[in-house]
Amino acid sequence: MREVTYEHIYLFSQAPDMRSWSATFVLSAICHIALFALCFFINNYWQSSSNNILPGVIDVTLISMPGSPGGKTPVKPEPKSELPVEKPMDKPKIEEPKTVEQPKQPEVKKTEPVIIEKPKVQPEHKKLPTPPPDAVSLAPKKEPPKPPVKDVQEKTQPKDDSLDKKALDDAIAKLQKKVTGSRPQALNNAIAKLKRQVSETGEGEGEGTGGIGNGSGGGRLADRMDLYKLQIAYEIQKNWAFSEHIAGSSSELEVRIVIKIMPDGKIGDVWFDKKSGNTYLDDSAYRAVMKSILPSLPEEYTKQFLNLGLSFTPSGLK
Amino acid sequence: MFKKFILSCFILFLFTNTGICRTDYDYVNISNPFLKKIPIAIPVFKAMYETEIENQIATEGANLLSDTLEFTGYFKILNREGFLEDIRKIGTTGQNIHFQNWISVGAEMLVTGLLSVKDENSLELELRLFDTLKVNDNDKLLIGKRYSGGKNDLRKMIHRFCSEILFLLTKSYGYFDTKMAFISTASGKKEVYMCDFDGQNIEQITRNNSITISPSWSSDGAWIAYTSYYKGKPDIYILNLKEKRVTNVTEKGSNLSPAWFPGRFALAASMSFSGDSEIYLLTGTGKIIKKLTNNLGVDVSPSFSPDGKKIAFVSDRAGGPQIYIFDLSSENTERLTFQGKYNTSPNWSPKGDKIAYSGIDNGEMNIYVIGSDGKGLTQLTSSQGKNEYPSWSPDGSLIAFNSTREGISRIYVMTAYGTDQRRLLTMPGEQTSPSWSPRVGD
Repeated sequence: MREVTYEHIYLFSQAPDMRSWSATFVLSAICHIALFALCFFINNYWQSSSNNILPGVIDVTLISMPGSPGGKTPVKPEPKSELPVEKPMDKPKIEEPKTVEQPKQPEVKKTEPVIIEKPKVQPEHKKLPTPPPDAVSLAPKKEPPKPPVKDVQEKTQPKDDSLDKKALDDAIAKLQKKVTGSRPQALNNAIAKLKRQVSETGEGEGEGTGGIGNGSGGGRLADRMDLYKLQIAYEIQKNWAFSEHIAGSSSELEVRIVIKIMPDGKIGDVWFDKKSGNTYLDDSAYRAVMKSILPSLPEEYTKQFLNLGLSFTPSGLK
Repeated sequence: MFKKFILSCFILFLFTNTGICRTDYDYVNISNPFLKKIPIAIPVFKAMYETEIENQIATEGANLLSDTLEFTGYFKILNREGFLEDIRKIGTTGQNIHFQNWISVGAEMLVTGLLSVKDENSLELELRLFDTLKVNDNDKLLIGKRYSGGKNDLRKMIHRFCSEILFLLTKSYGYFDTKMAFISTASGKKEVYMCDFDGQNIEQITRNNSITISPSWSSDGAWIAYTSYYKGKPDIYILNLKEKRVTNVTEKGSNLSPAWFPGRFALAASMSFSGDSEIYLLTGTGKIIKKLTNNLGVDVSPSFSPDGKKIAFVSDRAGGPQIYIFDLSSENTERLTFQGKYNTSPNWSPKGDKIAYSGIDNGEMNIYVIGSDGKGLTQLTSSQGKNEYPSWSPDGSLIAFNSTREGISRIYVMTAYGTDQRRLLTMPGEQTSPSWSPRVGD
């Protein structure tokens, strides 16, 4: 055993014994060749056996797409702009019950409105001798699960609407500006053309929450997936906030992130395939992914999840 | 030997195997960030005892924090009306905040503040910066600081915290403790004034009742040198800010445009006692060390590179004023600018890679930035009045200048990329020649 360990070390440090070193080298070369050959065959076999998986980089496809594939695919990319604002109500529910006090369920519901309208009643530090209802008003926050959830929802829903509108207007204005601006032009063109195709062929239909609906038989999986990826790219780009000004000169940087997309569009996992060396860029890309609400996977896609690579390359400002 | 073979095979397999996994997915390219700034939420601070004074400071503090962060050009401050959660009710720590509520209003970062005013003069302020999107709750708190001091220290506390935030993002503490010297005619004559980096706390420095121009900071922030016509002709004055002590340099002829040597009590200035205006190196007390340039024609407006090895200056040796670089060790001079017939007031960036200047092209006077190697010429202002006298912030992220875009000349600030141009301050008279102080620290 001990011997093996030493030889193992020689592999990585300077081996005094030239013969054993060159032998190792030759062996490793052989193994390399063998493995590459193996990979090649496996890969070929994989591609031919599984469904026609798309060509590599979609960046090209973003722009040239409308011309190239069959293009009988139903898309409605725009509604997505509403998405990010709507969903997020789910999670507070989970976090709410953390601080539990005494249960006073029945009264709580009655007092809820009171709390909302009296912002001055500050529970945490003012232990003033206030009348009972106020004292109770502490409770709903620190209640066992269910009532507080309602509380949050009631509070947030109305605001959410106004916010929705504001955010939407904002987003639309920005989108329009952006779209007429430089880069997304190509994307927008692609979308416009796709739309045209859709209306021409009259096949577009049924689309849930910005996900791809099931069009009629025309779309092959490859087209679907191209489109799906286009949507993903668009959604994440929309959520990407990055200032070259902060990053310093960043023209050559690239960060690669891989996301595991579950059938319902949830992100199952995120990891860095290649960091850029610029922490701020890495963080900003990660945040963009985490902010994004992705459409569910196309129905034709039968696997359990999709691993998709995202390559962030800021190339914008001077 | 056989063992070795097995071992190598195994190790190789490990390596190549990960290689296979890596190329297993397609890549989508995303190259154009939708937002160029970090969206940040800064709700009104929570007041511990909710006294009137506390509530007032809570709002004031949050507003100041917003303004200061917005000033950097790095942040988009989100509108408070859209917020879904009131941190004054739920608390300011990570356990209390429902980050999803902040993500859904678009905030990538969140600052919460908790303050208490115990007696008349003591202010305690806790500030926290959160990254709302970190998956792990423990990673969300990026910075947490508690400051205590007097009520009047609010500005200082906020600025300190902003420095921390900036350092986290850019590895530079920024300029929140810096000042700006400039020339104003508020009193009727051109005098030196000073204000904080954000245009607050304006004070008049000189009272020469004469023309005073081109203020320049020493690199320790203790001295300002300027040119004044106090004695009927331009002379250089060197002012100690603390002691209010002035030394002057009154050689014959014009003595103009002083610029401090980085890290030394010495300066360069243009003097014409020999009959021709040349740039000289002087001690901080105004004694001539040596003559630097030697050329027929006017040589003025020196600006040192941050390492003190080179000087950018303006010379009309080739006809119109152009910017040249003088190397102090080799004593070589090279011309830097070739575009336009009139390029003046160079200011070397703190990082040393760029020089900002004002130049006339197509009948407009604008601010330009050029690499100190002569490459990468960029025009930062355009079609908005006359823009001149650029001065870099000590971290190199902003440039102050004066402009006539709104009629009379005023001081403006923009990012080093020319974005976010805004007026720094409003006061009577015309303001020109901003000069950004170094970080004085404390």
